[in-house]
Amino acid sequence: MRNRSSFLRLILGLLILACSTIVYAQNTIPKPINSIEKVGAILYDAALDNPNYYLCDERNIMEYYQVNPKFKEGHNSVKLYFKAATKGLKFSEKINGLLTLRFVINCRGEIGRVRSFTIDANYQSICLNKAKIAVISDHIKQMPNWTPGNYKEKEYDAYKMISFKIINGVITEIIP
Amino acid sequence: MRIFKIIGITISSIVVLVSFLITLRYFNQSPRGQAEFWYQMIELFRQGSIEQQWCLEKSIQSDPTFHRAYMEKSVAFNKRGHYHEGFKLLNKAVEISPVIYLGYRGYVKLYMLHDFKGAIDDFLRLDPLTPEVTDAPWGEDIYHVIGLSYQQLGELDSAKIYYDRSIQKKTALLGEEWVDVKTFFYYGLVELALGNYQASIDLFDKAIAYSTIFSEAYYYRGLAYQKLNNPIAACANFQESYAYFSQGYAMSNPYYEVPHQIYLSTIENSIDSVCLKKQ
Repeated sequence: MRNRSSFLRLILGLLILACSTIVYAQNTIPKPINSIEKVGAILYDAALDNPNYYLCDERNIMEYYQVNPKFKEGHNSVKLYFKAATKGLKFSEKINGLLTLRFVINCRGEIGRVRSFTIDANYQSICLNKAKIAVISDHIKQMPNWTPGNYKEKEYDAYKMISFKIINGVITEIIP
Repeated sequence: MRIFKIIGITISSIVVLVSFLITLRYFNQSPRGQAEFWYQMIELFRQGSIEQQWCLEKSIQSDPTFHRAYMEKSVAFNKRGHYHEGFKLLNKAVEISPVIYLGYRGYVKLYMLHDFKGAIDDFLRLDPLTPEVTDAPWGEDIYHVIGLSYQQLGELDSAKIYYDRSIQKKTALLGEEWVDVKTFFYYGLVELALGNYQASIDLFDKAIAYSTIFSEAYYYRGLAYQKLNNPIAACANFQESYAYFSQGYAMSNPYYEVPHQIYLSTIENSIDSVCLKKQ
């Protein structure tokens, strides 16, 4: 019985090995997924998105941690940009949590498909004033000079996110 | 032609037989066995892909107490900013197996969400659960990450207590050379913030003694010397920092900005303001 079990495990293992021609464990290098849908995918929405926004490969938009798109010098430049851009922006005093904006930086360094998610201090979804989120969203769309994500001299479309920590309605920290 | 037909039939028969045996094996398994079966399947797919999430969901459905599937399913959500979904899953993993996942959840809160209080709560809850060992959440000494969380929260005296504990425990167990050099570095930053410049230099000295390419430690040691009105030593440290940083020796992480990460412009600005003035 035990031998049979070991044999089946061996067969299963070999099948998995045979089917997976590429090592999937490494998550910080780009690997094609050949699908528009995945966790965190932002699909085109005619009501929100620019129809002329260009993507090199819609079915293989990488993640920021795979191809490292960069704004000027890096995280410090993102923080500096939003420190000025969000100065004076206040939400309701009751708001404590994290606003995250996720977007695409295409292979030309242009920004599109911005979406937002907010959680409170207990990690529950909450809604914020849409007009105020739009202010931040517009600032993201206007960010110049993104270096597109790249790996081995190839440029990629990539998802990126920037979070804003809110305490008593005030943005206290920018988390790039 | 006939030989190809025979080979084709043989291969097809083997595939059908193996599939049958796997199916038989699957349905004869316990719920945990079935959950592990689906969990093994995730190796075939990319992290965060629809297929992988489907396998993980099947794993959870097979055995709703199988914590590994909850944790693995949470990862893509948390890496991609969907913290509400990510934490719902990760909290479930912690609920089922706190010893295994409290440290990881604390790590995510500390480094990715900057929820320092939440991170401290998780680490302090984990620590007494394993009295026989010193935990290492995501590979870092637990007292180091508690110290860092307090430091990021601005509670510097508490940070010092935990950095001390991290250094003392590791030194007693294995020797000072086994202490994480980052503990000396961040402890040095705490002393620098408190205005204890010589104490901070002593700690940066230790960090550099154990890691001679530690560009951040050189940079902040330069700042401490600058505070002590010693521009010559400050400049020398900034230059060292610049040299190592330019060679790629810098703290960074693909997922987040490392606490107190420095940039080339940071070092250049200090060189401009101190070294040029010195001359």
